[in-house]
Amino acid sequence: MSAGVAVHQLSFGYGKDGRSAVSEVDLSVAAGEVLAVVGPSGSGKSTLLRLVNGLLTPTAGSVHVGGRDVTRASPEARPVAMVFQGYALFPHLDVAANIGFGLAVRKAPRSERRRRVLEVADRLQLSDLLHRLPGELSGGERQRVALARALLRDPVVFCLDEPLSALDPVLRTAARRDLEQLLRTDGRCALYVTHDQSEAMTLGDRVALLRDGRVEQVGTPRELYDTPATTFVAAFVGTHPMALLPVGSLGLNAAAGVATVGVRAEHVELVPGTEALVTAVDDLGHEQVADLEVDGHRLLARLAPGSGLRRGDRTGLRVSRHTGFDAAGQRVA
Amino acid sequence: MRSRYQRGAALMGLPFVVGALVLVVAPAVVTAGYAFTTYDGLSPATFNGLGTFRDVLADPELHNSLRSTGWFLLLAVPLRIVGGLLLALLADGSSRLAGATRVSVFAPSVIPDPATALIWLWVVNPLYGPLGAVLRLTGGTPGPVLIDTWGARLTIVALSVFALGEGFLVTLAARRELPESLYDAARVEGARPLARFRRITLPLLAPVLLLLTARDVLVSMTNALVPTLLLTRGGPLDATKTLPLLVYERGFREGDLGEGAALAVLTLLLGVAAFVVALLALRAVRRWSLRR
Repeated sequence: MSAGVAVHQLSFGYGKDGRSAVSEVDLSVAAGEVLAVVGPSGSGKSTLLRLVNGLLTPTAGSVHVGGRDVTRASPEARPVAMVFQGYALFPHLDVAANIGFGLAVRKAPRSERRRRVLEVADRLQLSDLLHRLPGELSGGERQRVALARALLRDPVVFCLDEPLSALDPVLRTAARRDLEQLLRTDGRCALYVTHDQSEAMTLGDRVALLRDGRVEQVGTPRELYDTPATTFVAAFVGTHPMALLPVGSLGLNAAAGVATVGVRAEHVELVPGTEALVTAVDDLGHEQVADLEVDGHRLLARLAPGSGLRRGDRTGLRVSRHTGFDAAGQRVA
Repeated sequence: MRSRYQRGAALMGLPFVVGALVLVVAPAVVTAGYAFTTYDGLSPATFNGLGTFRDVLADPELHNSLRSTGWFLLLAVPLRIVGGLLLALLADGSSRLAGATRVSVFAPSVIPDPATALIWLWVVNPLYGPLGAVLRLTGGTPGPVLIDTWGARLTIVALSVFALGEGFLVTLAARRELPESLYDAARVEGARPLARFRRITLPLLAPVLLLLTARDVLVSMTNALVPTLLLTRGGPLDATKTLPLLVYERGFREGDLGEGAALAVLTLLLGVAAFVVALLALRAVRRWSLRR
């Protein structure tokens, strides 16, 4: 693996009761790669990020960045840059001073400070805003300042904590494209933490799904979507969660050991019949999504627009593909 | 037409408006009036124009009192503000020490002034007090503190510094409003505790600290009465005769209400002037700390 980030058996526990916020996590990010870390709140995403950027020291395990062991190194000694949730810009400092904060702290010569701040400001189209205060900037501009501050450190890895959550939906898509471009240049890599699975799926080359401080599954977005390792992954990934039904319902024949079957909305085909009740139809424009109830179980079906289906209708269905899980929730091959 | 809400609000505000008029504004106006007279409280006041002010301004006792007050403010206000800030930083946290600090710093502020004065009389007592005991232990010879010019002045300052609870609370509250993420960001950039204090805490608290300073100048000027009255009676040799004490003595003990009123008016003007200067400083600092 090329020199990016690698964490090995990384663990961290908060408090005296020894409760672990992150336990035995193995992850690696290659140069030029974006690893999206996703999970519900409290799953240990932010703790993982703080272990990589050095704000926390692990109780066990190691952190390597750029091929160097930085497990016990101080934050500023690591080639790691951080973009905080809400950006954490210093409200009393103008854009230039925010970007150059680290250089000022390290007492770099004024001329060098100026040169490097202008350099990154130019790259992020902030040159005209250098003397503004954070309070006078738009959300998108603030994000660019936070990125500029991170970029100035010339990092091996960017750590981003929910970088898009402070933006309104209209700005998000554009900001996401800018971010994507920046993160992948110059052979840098990125650890991108988000609770939004769709953001993780679109931005991450690979996605790591965390649950209770452990890695539930790590793989390409396609792998997580098509072959979820557990029922938890199946229910978390995808705009429409995979429907999880006890084996035997819908008359699906499953392999031995399968306790639960997962069915994606696009693998449900409506056929003439009466076994399913339509409880809702959402028209999304380019498609429709129907909520179906069969034997007291709920599942979704994706339909072509203008299907004519309405709430209260009865229909038959055929499942073209399903995934089997055992009693512990693990996928059965 | 006025809404019911407005009428209700006016009704509720009435006692305060009446109170302020009767207890503050009216006496102030009357006092300001007496400042232009000669008046001993027994015979009718006679108009003296600016004569009373001329007499008072030429009075060496006023000059001495301005010096005493100046020293007091110069020492007490910075110590109270800086002390409140340092203690607030120490008390900000969830440790047991932080909790104990919060209680013990605020406690002296709820003790009534006369009680505090008695405690300090005991503290500096050369025979029985802890100060004398400490001096004896370290090989010194305790002497009577309150008959020494600086001994008396520093005792008054110490007394007022121990009652810094209000400024402490305000500073602590302001510190807690600062988002932790700013400190994380600073740490990631390599800022050590001292750099974090200088580059983040101090500039972001500066507006609050300056406002507290402005208020403290005003409040300390009037609060200097009780301890000086109870502890030193302005002595030794008028070294602690602060402006409010001078006003009190001139007006009520010497019975010269005209000059007392003139001194009170001067005290008020000085206080307001100090407050305005501090507010101007506040604006300047805010502009400086925001633009840097």
